[in-house]
Amino acid sequence: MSFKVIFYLDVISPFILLFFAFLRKVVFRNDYVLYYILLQILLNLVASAVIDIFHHTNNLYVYHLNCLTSFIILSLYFHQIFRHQNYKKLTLIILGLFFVFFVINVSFWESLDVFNSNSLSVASFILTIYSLMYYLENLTSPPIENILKSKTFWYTTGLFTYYTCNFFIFITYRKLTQDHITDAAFLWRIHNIVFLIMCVYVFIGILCTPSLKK
Amino acid sequence: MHTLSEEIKIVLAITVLLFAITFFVIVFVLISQHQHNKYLHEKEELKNIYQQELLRTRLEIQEQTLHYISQEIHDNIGQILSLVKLNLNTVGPIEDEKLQSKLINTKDLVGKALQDLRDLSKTLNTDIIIQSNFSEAIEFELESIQKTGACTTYMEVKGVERKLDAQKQIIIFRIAQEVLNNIIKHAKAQEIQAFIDYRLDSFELIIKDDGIGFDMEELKGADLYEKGSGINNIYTRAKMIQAEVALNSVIQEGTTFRLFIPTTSTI
Repeated sequence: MSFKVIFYLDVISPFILLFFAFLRKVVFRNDYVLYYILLQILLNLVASAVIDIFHHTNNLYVYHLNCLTSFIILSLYFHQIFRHQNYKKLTLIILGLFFVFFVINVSFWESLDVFNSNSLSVASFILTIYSLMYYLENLTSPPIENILKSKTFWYTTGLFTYYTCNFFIFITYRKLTQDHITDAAFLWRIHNIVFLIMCVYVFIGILCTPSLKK
Repeated sequence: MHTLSEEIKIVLAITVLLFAITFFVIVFVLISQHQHNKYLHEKEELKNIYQQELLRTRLEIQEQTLHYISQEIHDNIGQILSLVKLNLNTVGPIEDEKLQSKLINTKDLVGKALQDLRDLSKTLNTDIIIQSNFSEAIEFELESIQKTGACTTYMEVKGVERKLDAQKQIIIFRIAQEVLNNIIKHAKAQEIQAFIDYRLDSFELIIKDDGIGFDMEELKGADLYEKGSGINNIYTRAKMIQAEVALNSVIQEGTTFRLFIPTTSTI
């Protein structure tokens, strides 16, 4: 029973997080990570509903959609937080390239019926690089403020942890499911635990966000 | 217990390794940031110490110069004027009434100049300021102002007077002088009031005038500080002795100056 909760961690943890953000009256405007969390709740809920409520055998098209929309939102997030103009431009160029890659991938390599290992692992790799670029920016010209009180640091740390740790799961998951490896679902539970860790980091980031006062 | 397949074990191991790497990167960033902040803090502290030293040296040179001028006034010009007064006294009665009147007038003027020079010498002399009580030094200043007839003065001392640290006493005195000078130059005041409060845990000096006041918004502008005006001197000197200073002015009602030092930094 308790292990079953892990299957739904990718819905429960962002839901609690968002509930807390509402309670704290956090300003959502231009907070792309909170948009991302909201998107995760919606799409993971849809993915679960497709299987558990509508009893469809395949919900992988939701993961394709999730990958693309998440990458767009997070690219905008990194575009917003980067201070170097070149980095900002790079995020927009890569976003365009990724979109092209995503379309080609769906059309020729990974249809909507199979797990999108290619697009998800490429997205993870790029987002990991963005996170490292953010750290590098802060190390080479650090702001005077305490980084532990910086919302963007905790947000980026959450994304960095999630996309780096899950990179290898993403890259192998299609192959493992296609080969009917029995314990493949076990890896998705690990993914969900890492997702929970990301939510914890985002939660700390929200604590650093000034709440909307009356 | 069901064992995991080899493929899953490999993926799991790599995921754990990646988790360890991310953890290491985060810790590294935090440590680097902490060290950089520490470095910035130390740099700022060194800059402050350097500025304090610079200011201290500047004030010491200023005090030495004032001391030298004070001595020159007392030992040189003062002596000459004393001799002039002595010589004038030796001149016997003159029959010509007009000349006699001029002689008496000249004697009075020399006497007044001599007294003014002595007062000035006293005000400039650092040793006299240190030796006397702070309230006495301020009272002397106020009396000198009153003597000129520019305005009336009032002084009140609360609490038990105690000796302040010599260096700090000079700096507070010079600040008070600057405030009084500003009042005489700009305020067009009828009355100046000074309040000195010796509390157990602090020292406070308040100087009030009922002059024309000034627009506080102008004071906030950078220009006034950059002009090297007296106000700038007041703030830099106060900073040096960790004193809090506040100026409050209302147009056509007057200005209040407040200086506050906690006891720990006073003694």
